[in-house]
Amino acid sequence: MLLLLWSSPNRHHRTALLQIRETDAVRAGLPIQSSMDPPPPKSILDVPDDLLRLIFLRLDSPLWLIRTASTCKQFRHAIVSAGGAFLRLAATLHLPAIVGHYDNHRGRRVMFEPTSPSSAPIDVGRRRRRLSLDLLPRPPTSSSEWSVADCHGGLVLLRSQLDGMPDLIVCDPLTRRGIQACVFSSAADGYGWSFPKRAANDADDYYSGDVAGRGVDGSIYLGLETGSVKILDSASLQVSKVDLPIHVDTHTSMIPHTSRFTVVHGAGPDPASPASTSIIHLRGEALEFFRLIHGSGEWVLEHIIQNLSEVARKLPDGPPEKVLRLTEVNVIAGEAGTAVLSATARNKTSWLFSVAMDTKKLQVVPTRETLRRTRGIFAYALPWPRFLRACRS
Amino acid sequence: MEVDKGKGEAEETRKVAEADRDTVTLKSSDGKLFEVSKEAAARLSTVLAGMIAGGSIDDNGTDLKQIGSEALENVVDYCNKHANSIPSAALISSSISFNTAPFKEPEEWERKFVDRLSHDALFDLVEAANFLGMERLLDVTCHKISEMMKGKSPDQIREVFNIKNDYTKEELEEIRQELAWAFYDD
Repeated sequence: MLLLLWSSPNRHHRTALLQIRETDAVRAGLPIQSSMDPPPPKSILDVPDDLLRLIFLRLDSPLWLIRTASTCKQFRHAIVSAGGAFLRLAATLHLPAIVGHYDNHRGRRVMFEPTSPSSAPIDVGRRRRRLSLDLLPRPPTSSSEWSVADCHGGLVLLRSQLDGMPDLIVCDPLTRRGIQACVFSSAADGYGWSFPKRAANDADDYYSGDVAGRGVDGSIYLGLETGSVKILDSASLQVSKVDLPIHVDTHTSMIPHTSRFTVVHGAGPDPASPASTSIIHLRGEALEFFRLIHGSGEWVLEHIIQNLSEVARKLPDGPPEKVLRLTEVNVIAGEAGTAVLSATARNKTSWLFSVAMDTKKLQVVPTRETLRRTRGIFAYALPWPRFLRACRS
Repeated sequence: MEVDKGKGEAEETRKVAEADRDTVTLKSSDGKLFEVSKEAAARLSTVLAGMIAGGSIDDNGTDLKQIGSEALENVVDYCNKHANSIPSAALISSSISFNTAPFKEPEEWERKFVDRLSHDALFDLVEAANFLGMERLLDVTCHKISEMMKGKSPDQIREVFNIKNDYTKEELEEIRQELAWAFYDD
């Protein structure tokens, strides 16, 4: 409602200012501008609101938009007068402004590692402290530390690391204010997730598996132990099946092998198209890449890396020849067009690999020793504001 | 009778000549005339394309009362010099679907084209591009202005654009408290 009350006649305000200046000029005995003189130089405040909005839409970080809106009343008015529509559009037009990663470590506190943007050098230490979660109380029913389960919309979901029924909390690292109780629950035995609403004819009452990630539209993907994937629409809480062009049946398979799904965000087929949702399926030694065709709901198998260990050994700086097999392979991150895999080799060394989602090229990630012990990386992006406060005057 | 006939023929010839000309003449709000390639104008500006197709182009200078001579000179310069390397306005607008496509980066020469402009001229050109329905030029000029805002504090933005902080102290405090994280120095 506050948004609608805004009605500052900025242009009149400016005219008034100009008049004051003219009287000052007269008083000072200076010649005042006659109608024959060329018009005064144009200011950005002469640009109409609809064009200002076109300009503001190109600000690709919520930081730039919020700061611009705080410059003067007319800028804020151009944004606020469009209601929530402008801010929603701005949020959908740009890739998430990732400022760093939360890193789950074995037996340690969750670490925040800032990404230093190439354009603006930042004080990495300061940002690390600012977004760190060190003020969190310990999990109430567990002696272990919190680990990150999800990052979305500027919020972080954490759960206690021990098995069994986990404690869950949501926190907002930007404001450090509200630590709220989580509003959804895991299934009764602590494994898998159950959902309150289902279609009447859906025979699956209970899903056992893990969260595979989020699609670019925000929906939650669940990788099930039965070798299939379900989507939970976060608005309607309806669950639907993902129709991947493969069949995984882990129950009847003679040689049991790993089957794990991870959602990764990739670039679209060409630079002008939006980010797309992909699923990486880890099937034993192989990585299968599926991509959702935009607008059609259809999934295609884009690429297969048949034998990860073999491909990895051939990479520059890859694991040495004597390392025969990589085990414990995990896709630990994948939100900005690159998937990151962690793997353990026979000789107990840990490896990180990245896969560019457009080329599917595998590379060794040179990394500090600490990162090699990581159990999961969650990209943290600044949220776009849902609304901006209008000015009262 | 003969005189009338001759006049009619002359009129006819003039009309043909006008249709055959490969430039159009545009007249700025302050009465200056500019020649621009008809093909380029039609390709880059949906408004000029409509006027050319509808026959509302005046041989003595089509009045564009909303556009001053400096802005019109830039528009014409943009069309004439660089028309060949730009896809048509119709093509661009049909390929932009608002909630899917991010903005296309300006090309090197387009960057240089707007970089040499004064602020004054740049703001005029945004409005002229908007008025003439020149999607690509609008893209390039909006991009340039947004680049001048990125990575800056509110104070720095005010300095760049020479604008006054018209918030009261209390308002400024409220704004900063609401989204305090956006105002840190990094």
